[in-house]
Amino acid sequence: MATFRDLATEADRHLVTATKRIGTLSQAEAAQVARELAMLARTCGRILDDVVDGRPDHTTDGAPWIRAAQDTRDRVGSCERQLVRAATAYAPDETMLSRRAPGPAAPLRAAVRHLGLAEELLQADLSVGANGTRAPKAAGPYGLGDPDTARELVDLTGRWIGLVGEVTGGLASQIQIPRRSFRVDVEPTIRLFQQVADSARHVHTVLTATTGQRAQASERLALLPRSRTGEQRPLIFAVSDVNELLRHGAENAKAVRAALQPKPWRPKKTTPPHRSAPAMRYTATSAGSAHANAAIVVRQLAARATELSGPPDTRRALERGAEALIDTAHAWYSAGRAWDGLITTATHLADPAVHSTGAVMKLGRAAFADPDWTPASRNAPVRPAAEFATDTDTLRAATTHIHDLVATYAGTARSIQRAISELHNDRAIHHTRADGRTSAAPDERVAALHGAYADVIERTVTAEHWLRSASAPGRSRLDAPALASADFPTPPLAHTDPDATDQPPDARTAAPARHARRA
Amino acid sequence: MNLQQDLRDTAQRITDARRWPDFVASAYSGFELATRTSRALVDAGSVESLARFAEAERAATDGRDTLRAAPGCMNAYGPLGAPITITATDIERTEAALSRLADALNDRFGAALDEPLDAAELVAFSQALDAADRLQRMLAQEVDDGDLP
Repeated sequence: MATFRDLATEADRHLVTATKRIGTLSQAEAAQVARELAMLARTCGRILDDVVDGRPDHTTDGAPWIRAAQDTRDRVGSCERQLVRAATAYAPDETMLSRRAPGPAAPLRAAVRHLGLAEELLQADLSVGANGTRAPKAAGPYGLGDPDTARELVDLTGRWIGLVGEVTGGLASQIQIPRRSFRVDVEPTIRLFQQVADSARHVHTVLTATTGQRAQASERLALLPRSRTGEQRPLIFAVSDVNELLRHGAENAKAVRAALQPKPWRPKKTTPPHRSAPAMRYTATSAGSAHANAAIVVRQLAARATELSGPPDTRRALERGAEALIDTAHAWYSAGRAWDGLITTATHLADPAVHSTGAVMKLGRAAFADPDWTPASRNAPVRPAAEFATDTDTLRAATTHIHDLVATYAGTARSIQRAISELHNDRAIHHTRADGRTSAAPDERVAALHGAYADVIERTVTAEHWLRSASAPGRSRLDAPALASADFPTPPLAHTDPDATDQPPDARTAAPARHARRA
Repeated sequence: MNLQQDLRDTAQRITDARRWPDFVASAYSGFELATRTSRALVDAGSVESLARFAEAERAATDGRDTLRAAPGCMNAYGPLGAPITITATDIERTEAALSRLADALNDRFGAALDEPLDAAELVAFSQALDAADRLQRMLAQEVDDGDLP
């Protein structure tokens, strides 16, 4: 599910392209560009409205960027109106405007579309009172009510309006060259463009001067809208303590799990169609990467256990736990692929994807000695074993965090499995046939999907077993059967999955799908 | 034909395509081959590289699905081809060839957005460009948090 940052980043990319495309333009192209710029200015104005609305007295609230946003709002509206006038004067005949966006206007149109969607997301964070007044739904560290978020929005909007000024200025220069070939008097249009360019540049200067930052779309904007991304999602990318990263990773896993709780799975008729199979694939891929990173952590914990002269059983349990986690990672990847070609509109299934990245990132930044680690990082060194634990207590705590994460993901897999069964009973899972049409997915296709998650659960049980053994060495059972499952005595761990015992037997014992790597 | 050559040839077909349908068909094949190759890299790579190759696979799959659902394209393409197996010694060369394919997809979809397109095409190509861009950056290590939705 896209956040404000996703859409803003995409819009930025199109805007950069747009600035490179303003060359010599035909009359229709120039008019089309002006119209798109007007739409861009309108969208920027709406974003400023969203930021300013609901602040009780913006002239005295002490935030200069809020005052700047309010003070420049009218000027942004004026830019929009002047651009519309210029476009209309320039191409008075509507038939001159092709249904297709001409080359120079295409990236602008794409940018406007993305920013328009981004602005709609902001509205989700605003409540509307009986008299029509709008206000942020909640104050607090994240979301539209957060002053730092507001500042960043103002800064970004200032940059976008600056681009309106640059492109409009370019437009004014370009149409002066071929002016004789145009069928209208271009002088008033050129003057309008120049006014807009000056005005937009002024707004840009005012807004960015008050915000005092040159913002990239940051993590804060990935938390917009707050109502969708969850109020508790913490900003912890600056955290470097390994145990804290692991703990936060386990918390992210719980957020993924919690997002699957709403029922029923069957979409309401009022819910807009929303294909959630890609989101499930994304969730599964992220779960796989989280487990792969967890495997690296556990491998290092095993090495650390040796350094600390811990019980040999602990080291062996950790080594086997790492192997089991790699298998679990591959099983999650296979589960993601099992959604290939399937379609479902169960909206709740899309929600976990919002939280999925968090666990991957935290576990990755714990596993690798690179504070900026991302899945794209190549050849990042693994964090030295000594950094994972100072003594056996911290080693046990780290193991417990990994166990929590794995146990929570096992619960997630069970929930998804249950959802698949319910949706299939309702004939709410479809597939694309060879002829391109869609129909209810056949039983064997859904069985393969269900089996892929059974495989995840089976392998997770093995990983959980070894992690439990390692974190409670006094009770370790290295010779225990790999699939001891829920019958295995529960050690005194901080977290137990509340759903682990309320599953139908077949959820834990279903015949596993053949694993892709082992087929 | 070996895999690396297949990847390079597909990249060349994408670069050389002149007619619109040829371009879309070759781009679909490119994403499809990139999907299978990334998947094989997930299986062949070390645990340290799993996340990177899995993200690459997801980006390639998104690109393929975007084109599959694009207007007028839905009926033209079949299911995934046969699985690919990569040995550990081939990983680097395969990655290099896959990077070249990602570059070709990125370049052509970037250029395609400058062409006259209707709204549906614009959305499909914009998403395909995004997928190609993610694939390219996963392989080239030019990525930041913003690439992870």
